[in-house]
Amino acid sequence: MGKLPNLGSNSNSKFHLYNAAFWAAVFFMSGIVAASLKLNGYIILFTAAFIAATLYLTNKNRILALLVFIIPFGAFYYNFYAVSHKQVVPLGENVILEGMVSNEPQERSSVQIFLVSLMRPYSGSVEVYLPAYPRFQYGDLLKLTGKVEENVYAGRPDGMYLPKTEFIGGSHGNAFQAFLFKIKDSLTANIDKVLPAEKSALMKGIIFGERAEFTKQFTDALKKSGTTHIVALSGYNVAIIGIVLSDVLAFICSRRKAFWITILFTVLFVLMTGAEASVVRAAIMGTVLLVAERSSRLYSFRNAITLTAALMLVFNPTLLMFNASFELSFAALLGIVILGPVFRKWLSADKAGGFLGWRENLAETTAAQIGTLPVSLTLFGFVAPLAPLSNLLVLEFIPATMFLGFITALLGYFSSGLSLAVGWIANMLLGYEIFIINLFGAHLS
Amino acid sequence: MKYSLSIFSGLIFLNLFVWYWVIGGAPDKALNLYFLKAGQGDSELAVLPGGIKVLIDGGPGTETLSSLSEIMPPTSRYIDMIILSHPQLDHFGGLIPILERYKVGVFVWNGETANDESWKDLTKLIENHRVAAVSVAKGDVIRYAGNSFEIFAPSEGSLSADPNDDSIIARLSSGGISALFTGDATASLEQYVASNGGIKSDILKVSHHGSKNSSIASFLSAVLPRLAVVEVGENTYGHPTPAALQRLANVGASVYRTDKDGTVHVRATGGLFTVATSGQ
Repeated sequence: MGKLPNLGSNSNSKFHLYNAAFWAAVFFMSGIVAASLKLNGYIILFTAAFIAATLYLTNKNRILALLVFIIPFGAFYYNFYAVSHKQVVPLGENVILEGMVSNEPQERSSVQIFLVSLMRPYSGSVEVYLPAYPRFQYGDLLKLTGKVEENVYAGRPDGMYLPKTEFIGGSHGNAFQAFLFKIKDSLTANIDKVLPAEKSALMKGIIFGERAEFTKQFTDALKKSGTTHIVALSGYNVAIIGIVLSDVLAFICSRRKAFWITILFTVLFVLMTGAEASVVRAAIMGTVLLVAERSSRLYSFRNAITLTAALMLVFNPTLLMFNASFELSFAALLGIVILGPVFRKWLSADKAGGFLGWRENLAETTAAQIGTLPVSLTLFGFVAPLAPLSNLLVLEFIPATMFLGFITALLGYFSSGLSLAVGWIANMLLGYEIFIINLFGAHLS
Repeated sequence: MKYSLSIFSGLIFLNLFVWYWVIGGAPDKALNLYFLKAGQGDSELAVLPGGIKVLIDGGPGTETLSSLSEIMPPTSRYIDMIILSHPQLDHFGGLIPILERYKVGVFVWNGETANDESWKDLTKLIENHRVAAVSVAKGDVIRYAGNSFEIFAPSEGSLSADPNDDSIIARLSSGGISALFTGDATASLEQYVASNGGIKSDILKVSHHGSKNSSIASFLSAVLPRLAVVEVGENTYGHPTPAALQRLANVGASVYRTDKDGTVHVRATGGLFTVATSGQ
């Protein structure tokens, strides 16, 4: 983290607004952590008062002392959120529920999985597991009969396995969202039409973050080679789309226009992939990453990350302690921001780019790897020791793969022959990527 | 002028691409038969001499698609004919993703419908993609050059309570050998076909995943297969049953099974065939 704010000074005038905002965000998050750990409210309040008093007496920094009281507010906010978003549905007994399919069903080999947002008298969402056919889609109204089982993972919706399902009616969702899903479906269908199954699955993972069609072995290989993030629709993927799109647009129109069109497309893209919380975060992170790429001001960046995190937590405070993807994204980002410059200097990445900028990639993946190390060790109890190497070998080709994927999908609307030809190049890249992932994920680990 | 170089190299690439597949994609002159690893369900791909592709059943889900795309080259996106033995999910489920991804010439089935929402998904696709649908029955023959599919069952207009009883039983004659496809044929259907005679075949797709109620002795001795393939995956029915496997051994057939051997590939030319397996 950057320098500590001017705590030692007895002059308040130097305690700038950006420092105040930074500490407010930090305290808010501390409160959320305290509440997530189920600490007693009085203890939190008392501790905050103690810290505030200490700060006030030793530093004479009144604003900071006052800001400490955001800690109990954060704790209060977390509990308030938990109560107001409480899932109301009886667990473990036979119930009849009505609700709407609220996301795009994931189609696995023999099952489909989707969320159903419940209607009165119940509230909340359940994750429903059904046989792959017949297929349901976003906006379908269903009547489900069966048992709701509690999800063992905190922060994930409860599950309903193979309930008796009755279709009541379709198109109850948001029409614009349904329209965007349709576009996505037709794009993925175009990819499916020209790529072999294994490769189209990876392509859809890289572009849209869809992981449903992966085999268990491949999912395992991704994990063990430390490359899962390439199919997780992370900030990285969104940033690539942004960079490629703005570069392409720069040929056609002015820089300014290109910037705005890029933003517009990024927003549409995010909506298209379902605008699920994780993707929205990815979009914000992607934008932050983009800004970071173009300006390397570490100090202001510290604030950007902290405030982004705090903002996301306002929408859902349970993320901080219970959501692996949230934790991993921020840990990776912190790693890149703090350690990235160090490695970059070591490898003199800024001076000598090397083939396809490998130094830059190595610096960033190593930094991200170290940043996420504490999180992945606690959560998964394992690390991929060769991850920097496998990432180095794969990441080089991801932007080109994504680009070709989009071109293949778009050409599919005009000419299946041309789409097939471009898809063939993508096919070779994907073949190479799958080879590396399997090599590091299955044979070298 | 700015773009001329990229347009030029693009055209060069397209040229190479087309010629590569024109030269490299020349079809095999042999018959290639694949008993696909498709989970607990049936799916077979026959690539006739000249490259004509016939898919018999589609397995239950997307596993068939993966097996299929390991066999077909990436630029080959056309299946000439799909034959569905009978409308049950473990035979047609996998056809849904296949119809979404491949162009299909003709869909051949026994004319029966399933009272199932997923069947509607399939028929909608067949309609939307304007695939010709043809129903066949005993006595029909589908011919292409020197190859043929003779249909032995079901009999015209048959509508049994158990859809397995109406499975299409067809014999492919190609590359100097013959292969019999039986769907989920039951004992009574096997009995019926055996009693009509003339079903001797070199290769047998074992009925109903090796169920104990199928592969009856009289049927097997009428077919006298040299090679028998059981298409089976993880299941709770006990398929393939020791009883069925024993009866297959009794007629001297070498038995392969897709759960242990993976996709089983038979290549036949001039009346001789070789077998290769993909492994699990």
